[in-house]
Amino acid sequence: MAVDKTNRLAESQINDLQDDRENILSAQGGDKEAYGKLVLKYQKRLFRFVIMMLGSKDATEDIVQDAFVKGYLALNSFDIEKPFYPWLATIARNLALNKIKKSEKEKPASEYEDLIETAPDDKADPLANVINKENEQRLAKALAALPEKYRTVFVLRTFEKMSYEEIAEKLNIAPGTVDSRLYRAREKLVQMLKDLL
Amino acid sequence: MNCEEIKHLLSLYIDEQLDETERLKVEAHLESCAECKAHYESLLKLQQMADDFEPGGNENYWMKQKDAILDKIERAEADNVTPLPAKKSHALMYRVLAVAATITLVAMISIFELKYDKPEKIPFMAESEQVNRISTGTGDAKPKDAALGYSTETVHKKDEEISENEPKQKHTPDKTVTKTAPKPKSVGVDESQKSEDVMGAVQPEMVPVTTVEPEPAKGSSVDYFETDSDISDKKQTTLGGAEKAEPVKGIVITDMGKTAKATANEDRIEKYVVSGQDERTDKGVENMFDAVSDDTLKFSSDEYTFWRGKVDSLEMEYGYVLSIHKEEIEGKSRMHTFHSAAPANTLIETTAPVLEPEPSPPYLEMANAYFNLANITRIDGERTVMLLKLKRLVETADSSAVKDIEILIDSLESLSK
Repeated sequence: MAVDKTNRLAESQINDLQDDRENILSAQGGDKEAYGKLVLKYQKRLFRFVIMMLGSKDATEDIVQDAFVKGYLALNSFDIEKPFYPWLATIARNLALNKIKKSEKEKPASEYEDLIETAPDDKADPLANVINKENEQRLAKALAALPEKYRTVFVLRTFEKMSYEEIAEKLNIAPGTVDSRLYRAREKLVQMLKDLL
Repeated sequence: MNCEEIKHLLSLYIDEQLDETERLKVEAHLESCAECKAHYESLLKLQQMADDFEPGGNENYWMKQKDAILDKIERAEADNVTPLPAKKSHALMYRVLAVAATITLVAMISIFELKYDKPEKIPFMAESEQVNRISTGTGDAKPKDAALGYSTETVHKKDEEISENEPKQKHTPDKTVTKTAPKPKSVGVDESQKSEDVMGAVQPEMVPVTTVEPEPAKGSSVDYFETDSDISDKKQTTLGGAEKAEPVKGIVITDMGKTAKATANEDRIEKYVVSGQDERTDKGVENMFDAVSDDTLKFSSDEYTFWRGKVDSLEMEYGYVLSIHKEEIEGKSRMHTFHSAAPANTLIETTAPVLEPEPSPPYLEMANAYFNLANITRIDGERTVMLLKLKRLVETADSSAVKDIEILIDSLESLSK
């Protein structure tokens, strides 16, 4: 039974990759509709990844759009043998990090704190359109209030399900640092969300 | 295991990263400790909350998003935007930085081992005798969040494998420690003091360590560690005859013709320049890199104890982790170095490796040397460091030496008052 399930899963993953590959090859040939299929398939996941890094819906929309645009423009350099989403997520992550660096220069650090305090009662919050649950809004904003280094590791581990080794390699840090950043991220999040946990 | 250690392990436990023994320890503790159990349940709920997170919005919203993306692509193509180039390889740059980082680290270790600990074990220092002055700047920087400078990996080489271009470092990982000097004063030391061998019995053949009045760093409080040539002309900072107009700020280290220099702002060291002579071209080369990274690790003593058991060596002081050496891969020790961009006003020293204890040192002689240095220095921070070193010696020294060391500590404390 379990073997059947595993086999079905593996089969569906292979089909998935094959679909992506066909769409990518078509898109490389200029077929934007094929690329549109990839957008529809991955935009929610990418949106979740980016909003967890930024905590702002508007900024997330921009970054997700820009990541797909850059991905399309760079599609010829994409290795067709590799999965599409991690490559796209790397583009999005770099864009998000640039955005964070830029906004940290522009904004006072306290802005995030204000955001968290007002979030639960703020009916006009733009996040409400895309993130339905109050808990999820709180989580997004608590993550946004974390130092970037903790947030990135937490998001890669928790939402992208990357292994410690993959995270270490991606961020060019030691696996031990992944441990400690995750620990700190979780400690801080528990502290910020203790009324919900 | 205490609760703090368990809390640290819980994150790994949730991620199923613990080995069987640790896992069982955690589970046993959770059975018996309500507080940790509650914390664990909070972590689980957090994980669940994250797992449940699914962006909402109706189909219309996502279709519009897709259309917006395709529109942007159309516009980008119409604007004839150059596609992104293929990913550039930064491997070479990272390798250069890694070497630079290693040189800086080794040079720092060497200098301060020369100054404080066991300089007889650093043969290249005796050969070169290039570092013979240490001067300390002014300021009262506090140990703020010390962002770790960079993270790199370096494969340890055996001594005989080290090329001439690299500093001849001991194979065993040294422990570099950065200390913040509380309220240091910049005070010149007169000639009689300069010529005195402050390390006394510890290193009689050593070049004397002296302190001099540094050129004040504008708007900054930093330490200076300079070579003779740097002191003779502070603005002549580096190689290939290149002259730099700006005064040296931060740390300058010379080691076998290589110079590593760190500049600091008011808070922390922010750039390193590692310079040397390219033997193939006989030209001066200089690699500069930012020491600013996004990493800050500050451990409690419990965390330190916990992590110390998990890595080959862990370097930290005042709670700031400076480096972690870890892993053994295919017989080679891989060193992960997190070099702290330490608070600007710092004293750096070295101590013995954590897991490879040195042969029993001459405790009393070391204690006398620290005591002597504390007595002649006019820098409060340095006196404090010596006092701390004495106190640390008490913890490790032979019982026969402890009493005498305690007397020295008492004397020093009463003098400080």
